[in-house]
Amino acid sequence: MKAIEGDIRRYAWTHGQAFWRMVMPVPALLEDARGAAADGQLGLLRHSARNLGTACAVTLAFVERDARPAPSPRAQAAWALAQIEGHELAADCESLIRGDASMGAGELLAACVALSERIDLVVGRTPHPMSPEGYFPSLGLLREWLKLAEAVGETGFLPKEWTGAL
Amino acid sequence: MTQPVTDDRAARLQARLLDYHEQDMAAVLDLVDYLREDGDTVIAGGSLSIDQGNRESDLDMVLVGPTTKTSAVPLEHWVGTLRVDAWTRNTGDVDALFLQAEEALASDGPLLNAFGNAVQEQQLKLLHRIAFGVLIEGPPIRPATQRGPSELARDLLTREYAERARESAMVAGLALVAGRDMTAATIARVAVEEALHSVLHGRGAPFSGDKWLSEQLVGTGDLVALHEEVAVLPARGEPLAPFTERALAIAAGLLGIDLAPAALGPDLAWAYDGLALMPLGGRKILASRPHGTAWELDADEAAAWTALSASAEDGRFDHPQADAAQAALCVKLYEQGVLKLAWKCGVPLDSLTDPATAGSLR
Repeated sequence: MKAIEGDIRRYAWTHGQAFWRMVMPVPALLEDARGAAADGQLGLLRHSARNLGTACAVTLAFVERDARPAPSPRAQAAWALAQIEGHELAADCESLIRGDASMGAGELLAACVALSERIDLVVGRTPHPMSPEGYFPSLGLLREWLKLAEAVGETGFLPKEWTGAL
Repeated sequence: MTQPVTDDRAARLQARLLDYHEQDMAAVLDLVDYLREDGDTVIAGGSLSIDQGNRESDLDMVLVGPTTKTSAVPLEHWVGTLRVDAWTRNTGDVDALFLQAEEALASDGPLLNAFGNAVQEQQLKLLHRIAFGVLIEGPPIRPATQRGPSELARDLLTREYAERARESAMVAGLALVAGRDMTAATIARVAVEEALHSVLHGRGAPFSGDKWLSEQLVGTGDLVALHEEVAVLPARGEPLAPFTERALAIAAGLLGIDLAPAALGPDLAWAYDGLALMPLGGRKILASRPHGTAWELDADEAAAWTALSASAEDGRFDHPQADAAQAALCVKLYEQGVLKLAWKCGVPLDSLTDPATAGSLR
């Protein structure tokens, strides 16, 4: 038997948030980045890279720093970078958040893929919700995180309007 | 009313489906046929329908009819490599949505008050898909509003993004003064992008999401250059404050309104929930009960919070316009996610001017 360290309510909230952060937006951002690189849409690629850097930094803040709560989306990049200062992936996240005009499309896409794969190693690889084979498994896993959160007295991390918890 | 396919957008959409996925609209219609009722309206929306998107983009199909049941979430399908998200909507719900939009635009309150929760936000996205989408089959959507869907949608976008830019500029401006440089720079960049959206849609451009801003700016000339100025933050180690100052100036110039904290402050309140300042052996602990988190404040911060919370009613206090220490604490607590902005009014469309013509964005 292996103990979950720390308070289970905080664990359920931070790891549930991290799952929600990774499994839903990151595949979509990578999909956007790949499509943009293939079609020469540098603006979309930069936008996707910046948001992917933010999503990864916030994920690390939740899982590696136990940070709670998170600020509004517009403040999350700076908040997360402050939270993960010193982490081995912090510089990679910051690079994508800041942007780098000298990077070509191929290089930027490669940086996005590399960071997301390293984050996967931290939080665990999850089913791809935007693929036919991953859609239902990802929803199933999301439901399990929600049930854990509710079981330990947390309010969950989905919008209240979706869960009927108004 | 929704634009019927009298232009060649449907043909261009069809060509891209064939090019990217070797599928055509007939295959898509077959795919969603099980969701359809007799005589309903079928609209193709999303980035591909407005000449944006790429080979990875999905296709949004909106099915609207008087006996159609409104779906809570989009239903995901695949035809070959093409992902198709299908939304079903009852005609009555679509009418109500556009009426809500018209009422929100007529109100002096912030738009967020009208579209403030996740369901309403999702509805808002759907409104854009209906207004800017390509009519594939069935009668055009004709809501019982004074103005047509695309006109309403464009005004909503113009005002919504102006209000977002106002909020971003306010936070960035306060963070700049408080020496929170990374917060200020990252949010000031967002303020410019939000202001660009406002101008772009005020000029009549359709919408399919934030991510297409850069591609939609191509060909605008004046706006592209401004976006390029702030697309990338200074490299690590370089000062961020000049970038922030320039970005805030660009955002204000784009909208034609004063976005300085001194100008915006009177319209702003801050809201909080479950915060309590507790003495603990000579220390001052600000505890957040909902989040099981606490911060230790120094003496000045504790004094600032004591004053702010003493002026609060129902967890809300006016922005401390004349007190820099209190304003700085507001930014720090906003950064931590325990203080939120609560605007007392919206940004009137009539106050916005196009930077190129100085005419109204309305």
